[in-house]
Amino acid sequence: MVQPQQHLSEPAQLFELELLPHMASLYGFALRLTNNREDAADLVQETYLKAYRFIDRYEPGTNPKAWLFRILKNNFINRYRRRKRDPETVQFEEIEDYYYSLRDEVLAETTDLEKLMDRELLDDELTEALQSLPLSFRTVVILCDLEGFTYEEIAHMLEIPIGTVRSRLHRGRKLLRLRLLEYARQRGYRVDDSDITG
Amino acid sequence: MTQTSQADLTCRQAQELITAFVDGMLQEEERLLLEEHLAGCRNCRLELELERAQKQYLAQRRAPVPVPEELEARIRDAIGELRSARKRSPVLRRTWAMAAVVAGLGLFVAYLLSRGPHPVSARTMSELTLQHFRTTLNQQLPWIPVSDRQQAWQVIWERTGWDVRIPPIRHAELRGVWIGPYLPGIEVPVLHYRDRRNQQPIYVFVFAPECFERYGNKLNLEPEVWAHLRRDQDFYIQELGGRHVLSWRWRGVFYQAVSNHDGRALQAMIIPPGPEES
Repeated sequence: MVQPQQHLSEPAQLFELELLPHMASLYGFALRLTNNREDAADLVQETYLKAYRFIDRYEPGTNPKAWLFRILKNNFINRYRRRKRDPETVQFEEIEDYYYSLRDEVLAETTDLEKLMDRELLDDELTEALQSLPLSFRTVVILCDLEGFTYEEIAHMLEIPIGTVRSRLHRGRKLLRLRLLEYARQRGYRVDDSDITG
Repeated sequence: MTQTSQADLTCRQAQELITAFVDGMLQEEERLLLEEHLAGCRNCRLELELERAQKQYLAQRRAPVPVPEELEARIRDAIGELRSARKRSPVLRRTWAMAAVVAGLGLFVAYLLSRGPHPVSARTMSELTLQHFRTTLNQQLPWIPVSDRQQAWQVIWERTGWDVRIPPIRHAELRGVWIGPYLPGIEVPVLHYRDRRNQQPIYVFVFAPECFERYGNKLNLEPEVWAHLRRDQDFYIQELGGRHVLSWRWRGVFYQAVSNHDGRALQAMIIPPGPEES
């Protein structure tokens, strides 16, 4: 079960070689979560301090990035809880009709999906759209679609079953898509009658 | 296994599958079902295209963000401080002060208890766990209040550095964590749950692998218990003096739960990791 552990060296070297190189990814993840540069930097620093203190828990040869992400995510939730409320969890079923009418409206104007998703959206809009997702959905979308982790890695990081990763990802992506379609409409595909929100 | 001819998907079901389909994470059987549905449903084909385009779009946004120049230096400084002067960063200092107070109280209580009418005399771990249930845990202990598994994980991680799965227990809510002496010199976290239906407490003792590596000679776990626990779904119930002690093992971490529940009823409440999770 436990693999023979190489005695790599003293913790400092392990830290230097295996953990520190992930700083940029960690910072990116922190920034996506917090949407604030200072908070993100604090979070990364805190994560590294914890990782260093508990470096003997890290098994050389396992995925160090996933380990760091997990620490960061837990720190974030712990802090974030105290500070502000999460956007309310929206059931996709409740907004399904709105989603389809919006989608069909936008797609009536363009069928070039790549163009729609790609060129018509700004980075700020993506950030805003992500921030509007409930935390549990946002985390999974960021980890999968922006950070490229596998379902297994995400399940391990968040301590949830793979089935839950899948369903959160599904709902998260749908909600995100709704926001992205809203931006697309605002930017290029205006309609005269915007009486849809009701 | 499934009767595919009857298993026509609704659009909602199909779209949930689309997510995993786009990620290449569908089982063969699900994939066939989905493809069958897609062939006859324009709406879901459109969703598939959108899901793909969205995934691609996000993948393009993976570009690394510029990291503040001073961050690496900050981290190195902080770690240098930690290493040499054993100072804690401001963020951690408060936590550590609290932790120290709690640990101090815990030790004090343990000291009182070890002098009290219940000296540590149990021979096996199950007996010892039961003894703690009957004595230690009835005392006023400095429980750290937590309301969910995430917080409990955080407390244990902060205090011990153990990365352990906090057991989800059906019908029960988490109330607190106490990290106290299990045996003199061996501190382990205890999770306190409460069954919402009858308000009965449930206590779960958590033993990371290092407990056994370091204190294996003191921790007297019955070999048959260990031998029985091979998979995440395996539990071992021991009846001792009219109570049940429930043991299990997840990812090398050993757990023992004790409560006034019947052992099998308690076992049914504890949710093991999903097959893919472990």
